[in-house]
Amino acid sequence: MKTNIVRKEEYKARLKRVNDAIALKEGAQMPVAPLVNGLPYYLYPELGLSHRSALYDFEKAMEAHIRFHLEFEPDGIVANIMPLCAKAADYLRPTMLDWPGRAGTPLPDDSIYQMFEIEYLKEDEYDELLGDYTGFILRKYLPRSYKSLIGLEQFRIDPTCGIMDLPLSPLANPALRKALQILLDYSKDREQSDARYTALTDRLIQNGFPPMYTAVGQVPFDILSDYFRGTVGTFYDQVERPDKILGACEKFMSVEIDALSAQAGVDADVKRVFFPMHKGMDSFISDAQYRDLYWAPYQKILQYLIGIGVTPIIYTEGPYETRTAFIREKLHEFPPGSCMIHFESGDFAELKKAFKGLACLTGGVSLQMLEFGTREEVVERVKFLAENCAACGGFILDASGAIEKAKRENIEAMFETARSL
Amino acid sequence: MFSGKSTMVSAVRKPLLEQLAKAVEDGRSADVVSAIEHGLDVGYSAQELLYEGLIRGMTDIGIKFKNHEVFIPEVLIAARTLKKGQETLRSALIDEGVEPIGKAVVATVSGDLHDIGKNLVSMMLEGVGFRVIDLGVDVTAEAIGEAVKTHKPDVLALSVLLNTTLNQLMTVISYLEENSLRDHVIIMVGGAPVDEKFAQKIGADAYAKDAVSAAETAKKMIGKM
Ligand code: B12
Repeated sequence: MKTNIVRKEEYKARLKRVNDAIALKEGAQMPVAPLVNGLPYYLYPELGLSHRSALYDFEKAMEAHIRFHLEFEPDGIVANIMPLCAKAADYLRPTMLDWPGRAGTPLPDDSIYQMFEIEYLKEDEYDELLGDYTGFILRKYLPRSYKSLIGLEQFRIDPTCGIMDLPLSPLANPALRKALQILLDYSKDREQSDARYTALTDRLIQNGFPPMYTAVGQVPFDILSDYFRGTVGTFYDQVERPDKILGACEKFMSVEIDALSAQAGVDADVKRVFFPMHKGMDSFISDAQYRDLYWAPYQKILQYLIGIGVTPIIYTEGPYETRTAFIREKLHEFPPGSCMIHFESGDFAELKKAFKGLACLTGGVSLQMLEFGTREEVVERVKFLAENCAACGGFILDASGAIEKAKRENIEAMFETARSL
Repeated sequence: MFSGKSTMVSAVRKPLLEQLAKAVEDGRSADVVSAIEHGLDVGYSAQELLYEGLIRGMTDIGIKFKNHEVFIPEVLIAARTLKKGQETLRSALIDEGVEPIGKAVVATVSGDLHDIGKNLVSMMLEGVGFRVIDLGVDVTAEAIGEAVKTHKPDVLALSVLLNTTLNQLMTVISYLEENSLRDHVIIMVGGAPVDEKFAQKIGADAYAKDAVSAAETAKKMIGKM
């Protein structure tokens, strides 16, 4: 069902501004769309919000994000909040992260949730993962990543006698039953929490803000490093078993394409997939491995998405100077204007030259400047970006990462300067 | 010609130390262990195996890392090999009474769990001959103060990766000042959000951009270079 847009004119104008930038049209007004995480909680202290209350009291968090959009009028929905369901996490007991509000956590209320890295996939288990992907996920990955799902280790079907219910008889196991019950509860809670997130998006759309992205994906190599082997485990594998890495990345690629294929049938004004890229930065990986392990499986995902009319947002993180020429070359395999590309740092005038006529560049204002810099510095920076990046189109003004905290006057300066040019 | 003996020995000596250095660089732990054991058997001093073998290998890979010829994975593997080599040499070093060039306490500040960069700094400090006391991650100012008091290090190396924990550097420095511990230790700071200017502003003694420069700087600061 399509949302009933109340502020249609604003919606259309913003959508056009962003779409023109993506289409690399010259002369269009520079869109401003800085992604924000905890910033609204910080800017509106009167709402009494912290990351903790935002996780557990979604309505209130929604209020803060809507207020931010109405006050600053970004050119799209910039609330970069993940659809987490803390209520369910409390009983799922994930081992890969901690969050404010979790029983016994040392985290203060104003801390964002925090990931840890655990080797859910051991160095000698690659073949098992690839030989029986579903079995590994079910019996090893899930019990290792959620304490409450330990019973899934016992999930087995008995093929020796297929009569009546007998193949299912191993399900008569109390630990397994407990895990299955938890999954049932989760299924319900997840549905409710999805509905709440849809409600937030809908309210923002009604108020005239088109989504900046409609789904999130990850580079297969990052999936391996973030959620299976850990950064350090992956570092070792890069030297000791790179062929295994490639095998896993190709598997994740096909699983991900399958998941993203839902985008094909969606009837929406915006179809963009946001790819935050974690482990490809300059010193992390050699050029050759970046090409073969990091990018090659990713390129296939990009190709698939572009083919079904979706715009990938290539959101690089960390220093990326040594990669620019290579990425440029790879993007030449797609029609101009197929992708958006974000950089955290680097010389934006040079980056603009590199991607001109190829992909819409985003970013430009550092988080450090927004939090610790002066208003004048922000004004200067935005002017620099307007002149050197936006003047010929194909640029969206954004911060170097999602904003947690910033001086109010600096955020005001960012928007005001951009609008005044 | 008997006088040729010593020349012959040093001609043989060099290749073994070179092999050892190269094995560290390539991350071949088994080769490192066997080269050390063999070296000790045939009369090499633990000191030369350490400095001209292990530490040379680590320094070489550090240079390659700085020149973008190798990347973090290779450095980590070399560091793991260095550790293995140091363990193999430990008792021989004690027997010979080999002293480290200095002592360093290393920590990631409170609230911050990032340890890859800090570990590399630790390893590189060890790689240039420091004895390193690594306090781990999420270390409070009090615990750092306690370690400075107990270990009396020449260098305190603090790592930070989050904007939200940057101010912990100030907290640690003021804590050391308040407890009259500040003047006895060289404070080095680093990590992705830190830069030279920031380090100066908060009153640290040194900043380095990467682990290799961190070790070089530390050596310079204690007057060993
Ligand atoms: C790996 C990683 C993680 C891993 C950490 C694993 C581990 N065991 O360390 C995990 C997944 C656990 C993690 C968690 C989080 N992370 Co993190 N993480 C990273 C990432 C991708 C790489 C960091 C790294 O290891 N770099 C490699 C090492 C070798 O580099 P380095 O640390 O900079 O160290 C070098 C130099 O700085 C220097 N150095 C380091 N220390 C010192 C000390 C001294 C004295 C000296 C002289 C030099 C020096 O030498 C090192 C070697 O050359 C960075 C991205 C980035 N651009 O850095 C984000 C990043 C640091 N993380 C970030 C965030 C936000 C988080 C989380 C809050 C995310 C979340 N919501 O869960 C949590 C916080 C957890 C916590 N409380 O600390 C942000 C920080 C933003 C900011 N500036 O505030 C970054 C920048 C990512 C981003 N772009 O948003 N993270």
